[in-house]
Amino acid sequence: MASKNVQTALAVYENFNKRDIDGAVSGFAEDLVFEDHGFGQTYKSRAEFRDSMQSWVDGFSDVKVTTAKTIDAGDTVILQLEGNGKNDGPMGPFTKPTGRSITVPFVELYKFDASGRIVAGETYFDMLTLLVQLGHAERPAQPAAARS
Amino acid sequence: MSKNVDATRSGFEAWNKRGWKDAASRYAVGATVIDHGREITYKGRDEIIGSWEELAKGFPDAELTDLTSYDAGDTVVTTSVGRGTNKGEFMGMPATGRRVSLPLVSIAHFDAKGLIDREEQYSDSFSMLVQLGHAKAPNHA
Repeated sequence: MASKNVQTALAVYENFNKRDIDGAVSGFAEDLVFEDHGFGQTYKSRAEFRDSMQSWVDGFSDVKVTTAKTIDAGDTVILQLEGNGKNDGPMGPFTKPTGRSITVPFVELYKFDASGRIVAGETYFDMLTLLVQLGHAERPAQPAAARS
Repeated sequence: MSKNVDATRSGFEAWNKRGWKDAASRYAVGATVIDHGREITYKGRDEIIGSWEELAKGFPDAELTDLTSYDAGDTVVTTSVGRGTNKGEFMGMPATGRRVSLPLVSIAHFDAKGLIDREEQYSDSFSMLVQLGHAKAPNHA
């Protein structure tokens, strides 16, 4: 049976996928500090993190996040995730929707306090993957033998 | 510190000393390493070492710093910051002389022998291109 922290972690994107954004962030402390390494931003409250989640929905109204792997490290839970959606709304500085679909792998780390609240976290993803799929950038040359 | 965490961290230390074979000895012979930031998969120790050599050509002083490891038994998650100066060709682009700082996360799965049989790495290669001057960061709204 999944630990309480794992259950809380998994509930984040279960609720997000139902467009219950308040429910998605309900496990976070109000003074959460969350580093978004893809956007190079730090969200310094639950409200700021909620806004970041909402911005994804604004840009990709059908966005859905699937969990590939859950890693229970006690007071830290790590999720390997994949986001899928069609760009039909504004995304940050890109105000004109492209109509293109994206598939972006990412990782989130949630750090829990003793009461089971998520007090800190990090997300890692490749912005270049996102921009290339949207047609906003091109990927540099890769070694052909090792290309995925 | 668990055996797997110790293997992970000592591997990073060997990497920072350019001890490729030493660092690669933490991996199973046929290990798979997936670099999600560059969308590349390396299979086997030779390809893994080759990827490190390519990186070191571009960034001869590259090092992995600020290590934090999370122990989940047969899986060890390690966050770090890759730092280095671009003094050689990298990803087909000429040296810029610029310094790069790149947050990374590695998710390493260990087999029953205590060797990494699969590792997945996540980073933002766009941030690196921006820091090198090869791309321009979009203005966030």
